[in-house]
Amino acid sequence: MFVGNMVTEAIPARVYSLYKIVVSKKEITRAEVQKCIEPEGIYEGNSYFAAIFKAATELGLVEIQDNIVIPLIPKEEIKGIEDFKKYVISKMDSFEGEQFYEVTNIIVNLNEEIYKYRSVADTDLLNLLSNQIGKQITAPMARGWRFWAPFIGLGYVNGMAFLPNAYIYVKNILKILNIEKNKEIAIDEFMAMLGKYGKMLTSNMQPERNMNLALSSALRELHDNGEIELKYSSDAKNRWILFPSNEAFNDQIASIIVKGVK
Amino acid sequence: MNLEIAKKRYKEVFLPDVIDNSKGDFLAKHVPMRTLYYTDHAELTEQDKKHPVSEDRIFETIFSEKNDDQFILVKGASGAGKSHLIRWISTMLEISKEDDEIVIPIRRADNTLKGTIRQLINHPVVENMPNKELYKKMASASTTIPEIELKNTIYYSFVNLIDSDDGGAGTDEGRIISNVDRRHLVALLQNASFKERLMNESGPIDRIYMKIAENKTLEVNDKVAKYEEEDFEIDSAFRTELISNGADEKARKIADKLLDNKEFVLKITSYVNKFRERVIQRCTGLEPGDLSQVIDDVRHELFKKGCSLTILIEDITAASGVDNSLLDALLRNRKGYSDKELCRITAIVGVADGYYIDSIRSNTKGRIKQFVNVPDDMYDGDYEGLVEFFARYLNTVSLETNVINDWIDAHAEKNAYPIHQVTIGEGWDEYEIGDKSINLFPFTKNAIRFLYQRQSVTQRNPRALMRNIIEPYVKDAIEDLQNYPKKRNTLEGYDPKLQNVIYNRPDLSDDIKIRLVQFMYIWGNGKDVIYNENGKKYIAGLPENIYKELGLPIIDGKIIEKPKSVDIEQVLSKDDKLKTTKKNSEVQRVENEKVVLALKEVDKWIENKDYKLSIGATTKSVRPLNDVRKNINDYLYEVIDWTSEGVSSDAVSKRRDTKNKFLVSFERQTMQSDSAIELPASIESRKIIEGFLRWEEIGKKSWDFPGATDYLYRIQCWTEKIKPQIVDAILYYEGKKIEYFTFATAAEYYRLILNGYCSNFQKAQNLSPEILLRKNEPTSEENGHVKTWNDLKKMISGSEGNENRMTVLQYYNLPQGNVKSSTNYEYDFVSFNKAVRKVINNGLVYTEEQLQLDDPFRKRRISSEYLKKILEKIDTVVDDEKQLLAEKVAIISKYIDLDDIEDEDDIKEIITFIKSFYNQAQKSHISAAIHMDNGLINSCNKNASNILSSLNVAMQVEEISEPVEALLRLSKDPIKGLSDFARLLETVGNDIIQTTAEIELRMRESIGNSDNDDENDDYCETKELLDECKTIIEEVK
Repeated sequence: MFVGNMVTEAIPARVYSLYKIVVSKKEITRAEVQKCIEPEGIYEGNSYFAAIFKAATELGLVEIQDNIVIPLIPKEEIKGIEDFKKYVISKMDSFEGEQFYEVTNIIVNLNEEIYKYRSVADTDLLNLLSNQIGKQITAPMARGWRFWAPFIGLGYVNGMAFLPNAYIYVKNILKILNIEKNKEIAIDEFMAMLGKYGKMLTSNMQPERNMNLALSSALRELHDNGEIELKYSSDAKNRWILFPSNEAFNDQIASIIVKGVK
Repeated sequence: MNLEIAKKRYKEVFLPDVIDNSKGDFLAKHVPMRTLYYTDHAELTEQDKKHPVSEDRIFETIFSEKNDDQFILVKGASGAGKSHLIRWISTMLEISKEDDEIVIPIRRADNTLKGTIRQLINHPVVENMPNKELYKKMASASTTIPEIELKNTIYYSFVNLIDSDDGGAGTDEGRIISNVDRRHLVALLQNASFKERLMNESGPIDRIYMKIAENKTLEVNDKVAKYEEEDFEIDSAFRTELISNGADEKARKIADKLLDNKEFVLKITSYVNKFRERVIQRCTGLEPGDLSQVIDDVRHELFKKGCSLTILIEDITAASGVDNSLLDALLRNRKGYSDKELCRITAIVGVADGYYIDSIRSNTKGRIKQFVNVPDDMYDGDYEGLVEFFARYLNTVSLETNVINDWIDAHAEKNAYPIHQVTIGEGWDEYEIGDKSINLFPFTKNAIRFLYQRQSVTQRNPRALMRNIIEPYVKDAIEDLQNYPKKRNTLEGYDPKLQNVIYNRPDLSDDIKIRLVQFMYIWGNGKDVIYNENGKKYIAGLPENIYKELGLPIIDGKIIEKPKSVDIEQVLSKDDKLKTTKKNSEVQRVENEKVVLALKEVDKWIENKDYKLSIGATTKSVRPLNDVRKNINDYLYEVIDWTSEGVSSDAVSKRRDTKNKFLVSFERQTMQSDSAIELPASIESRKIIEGFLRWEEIGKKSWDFPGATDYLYRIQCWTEKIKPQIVDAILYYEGKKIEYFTFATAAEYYRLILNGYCSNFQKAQNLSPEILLRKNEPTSEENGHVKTWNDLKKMISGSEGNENRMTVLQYYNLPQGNVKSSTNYEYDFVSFNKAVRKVINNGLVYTEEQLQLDDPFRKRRISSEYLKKILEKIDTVVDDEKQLLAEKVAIISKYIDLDDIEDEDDIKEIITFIKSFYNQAQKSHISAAIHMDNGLINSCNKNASNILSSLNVAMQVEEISEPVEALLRLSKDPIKGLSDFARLLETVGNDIIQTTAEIELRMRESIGNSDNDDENDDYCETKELLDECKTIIEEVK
């Protein structure tokens, strides 16, 4: 999923389910994990287990040692799905150059152009992605992407159409970064901090410090919620420009104050 | 405005002119009428409309004629200003008339016949005339009679006149309705329900009564005293009422005929109205010629004195019942009646257009040659006049009466027109009148123009403007300036930029936002621009202090140079430009028509707290709102990552697939709402609704439309905000967490137990979750269980059981996307295990209170109902099963001592003895041998261990009082285990008895018939053998 081709079968909830099984048992073999996820008595059809297991190992959640599946992340670190989400977000930039990373980066930088595609598996969009990446992106790959992009909080998927807004994604990065509250941070510094975990979102943005729509909506929402404060200063040397809005906060950002992420 | 004076005066100043008795107020408010039409024919042609004349010109035209009798009919719509014009003429006459000109003004006053007569006979000229008796009679024309009595008199006068008619209504027009219809009509009129209908408030009898009786209100009564079509329009509900009330057949017949028959309704209405004059005359005791006689008498008296008469009647309907005879008298040209010695007459009579068409006889119409038409839309194109109209009203309300009277006393000179001292509203717009200016508070020129244009064409007349705009807005401003403007107007065809700026302010309440938008768009210029003039800041064209006065916040905007002043003419041309722009963008408007209409509805809903949002699926104009509701729901189901929110996709689909249950509905919507969240009538909701409207109508179900990002952003923020509520709505109902998985699981366990899949478990608490995840198909019907067991087993193995099993299996399944169910099970095994353990630990037992039988969602509730059905039967099943098992044990214990059975060998030994018995019986040719059933014996022998365990189960079950535990034990089917053995023992037991008897008989026969020793030897041998057998049998026992 994150290394090599994207797949539809390894959806986030299944990968998390696998992790939960592994941490709940003292010693469990791969076959036993599979029996839990795909109960033999009722299971019909092709097994998706391999894809799910692969995604879990790519994310560094589990690995096989001496024929036993062991958790790599202690259960105290991932207590629930929100922790799982935060963990996955923290791993995203390690997949730079991989298909999922590349596709995501292209899509979030499409801005409003993404509205033209009624589905992430739209042929024109697939062609665009394939051309830019230099490898064939197929519909099943895109359909697999559509499960993880909203899960990590890059936007919403409505009727297979992707609607960018990285509020959840950025919020989680801010949690991971644990930035000091109420301290004014120059926008360049903030962007550099964000880049530690959010390069997939922030890299390749349009030149001249123009933020993409997904990041702009995220910052606006955080600002509107009072979780951060976006600040404009005419004196500031460096300012970043949000994706234009007629209604929401639209000043150039000189600095940011983290008020407290919910 | 002078607040102190206005507070005292506004109620009296805003009385309609026709009722207002203060000449001063009337003149102070009077705005010269500039668009009147003077013609010799009733209906205006397009050519006529090109030549409007002023009131001064009309006055001059009428009164320059000194010799001929004149009759001028002042015609116009109700409220257009006819009475106002006539009153102005009257006032001007009083000032300018010569001494020999006698003026009798008949004011509309209370607009009743009594009021009219009283005004005429109380006039000094009439009071001193000789025909006293007639006037006395007229004065008592409508002596106070109790209302109900007078109304009944009116009603039955109609019935009597129609009953005695021949269908022609006394006209020369021939028969209007057939005699049959007339008789049927009388029957209908005599029906109590129909009478009640016609006698209702505002019904025809009430209308006629109001013209005859004294009017106690100050309202202008301009309802015509006659029957209207709707009075005779019958609907099916009323027809049904007639039938159920046992109405006369004739009444029913005409009711049937009136049903959806417009032509017939018209005919009947017209026919009944023909009796109107006669009824009024009867009820008032007036003769048709009475008023006419008074007019003639007056003219004669004035003739003798060398005077001439000017009579001004503001509204002819005030003489209802005698109106035509009065018109006859007024139209009487003295030249044709020289013998009567009548003076010259100038009659000016006001009549509403509708009354002129319907109620004035055609021969009368033919005699009228002078018409003054007062247009309904007096200020169409005359914005100067419109603002002056407002200004004079606002000025009058702020002037003390004595100030106005002083002005009147000084001949109401234009130049001396008094202007009030402003105590509130400094800095608001002003109207220049000569070298003076009138403060327009609480209006601006923009507001006047907007509010005027917002009136329907029929409501642009002076009275309606005063009633609908000036009075309510002044009242609101005087009473509560901090909430002014209070009234909400729908904005259309405007630039929403400023509205968006205001609506996006997070620090303002919705009420302030709406008020500010209304104020800046309607009173101001609707632009977020600021300029300075004389040190004063103007925002949207309005000075800063006005906002402060109203408690409104100041909105930032782009600073500009002060625009060139816009005079009224320019305002007019601005309107023309607007019209042109509208034409240019017609194509785009057609595309967006649905959005515009729907948003108009949404605005009404937000701005008016008692307005219900119309979302009917069949009403074309609001159908998009119905779609919005559906689209919002679909969107939420799709964009929320349910599994991340800890919500099972099965739980989501069970809610989503329930009809008429929505996640989101609108506050105050017309259709019944049953939803998790009510979208409040707020500005934020408007944004959400507008976004979805545009998604559907402009984006054609995509976000690819101009401005989509901003709408989408609002929707995304809203989604995050309401997500917890939506999630709760799936997981809870009425504060209770949904537990249908628990109940479905318990029920599934019962299915497995009854099918024998759990026979290895002793207690419910020992059950394992994994057994739920096996195939577990229904087992064979061949078993030893009782009927009640098998009946229950059959019930839960059918479709209900299958559906329930699917619920158990799907709840923790993790399908891809919105797939409802999948047999490609990918399990959230840990959560499944935990949830099932909870059921197991609870022992599969739930009380009725614990079950969620009140869950409003059927698809979830059925799990509770299904489990309830099972639980209700469990006790009976266990009891029946226990009883049959006890019977089997009783049979067995009859032949063997159960205490002696320790292991399966003990059972096998018994079976061996039984087998030996039958073998010996065969050898000895004992009849019992025929009962030897090797199959049964071998089966029992083979199942010895099962028999033993069944016996053990039977012993244990006897001691168990807990039904589920007993059920689990009984699921091993001990009855079946013991049945063969019990049958074998019962057979052999009977055979032993029979064999004993058979042997004894043989013995007796053998001893009694034998004399030789050989036989004795045989006997001894046999006896020994029998003794041996006896010993064996004893051992068996």
